[in-house]
Amino acid sequence: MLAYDPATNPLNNNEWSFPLAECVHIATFAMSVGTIAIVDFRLLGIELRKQTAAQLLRATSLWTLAGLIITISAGMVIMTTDPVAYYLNWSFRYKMIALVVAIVFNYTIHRKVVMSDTSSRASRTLVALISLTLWISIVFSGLFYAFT
Amino acid sequence: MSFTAFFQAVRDTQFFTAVRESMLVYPIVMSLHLTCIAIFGGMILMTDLRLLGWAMTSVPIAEVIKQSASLSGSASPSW
Repeated sequence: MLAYDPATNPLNNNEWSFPLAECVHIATFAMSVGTIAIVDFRLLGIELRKQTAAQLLRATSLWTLAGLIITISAGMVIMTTDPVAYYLNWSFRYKMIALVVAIVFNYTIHRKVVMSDTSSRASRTLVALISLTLWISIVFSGLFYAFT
Repeated sequence: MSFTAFFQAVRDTQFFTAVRESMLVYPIVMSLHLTCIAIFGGMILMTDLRLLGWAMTSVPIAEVIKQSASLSGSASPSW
């Protein structure tokens, strides 16, 4: 027996709050994933080559963190609309695991390699590819939840 | 041809009907769409923050715009 009935959730009882939460979620994940991608593209040597990856990380880190906090908060609000359906969906489960892995990776190995002056080209490329793969797969799994 | 008739004709093509009714193609296209929004959105955000003087202030504005142009799609300044 469920103690929580989604039908009582205000988000399921008006036309504007769910789309609003979705808009906030999408705009702020774009902010965090986009700013992480800037650093990753620099690690791959694609963009902003006159700055070091460490300089770009310092310039973007506040916006990455703000984006993550807001997008996860909005995501939790969205999840309350039908928590059981989310929990039972394989795409959502993958997303949650990948999200934890991506956040831990971003603030440990990723940060260490970006800030180091001595990291090899191979390790920088590998870290950038892992980071981009994780974050992009999180975006994909979020979309796939809605269609599977 | 009205706009509605035009869009209806697009909708009725075999190709877009197949996309609409597919299990995987539609979510893949949507995911790519959102991923690219995140990537160019991040570039434009940092460029705009530089214009506001809130980030990367040690780098000239023209430099930030020029260097991020290939991924964000912003035009290189001609001045």
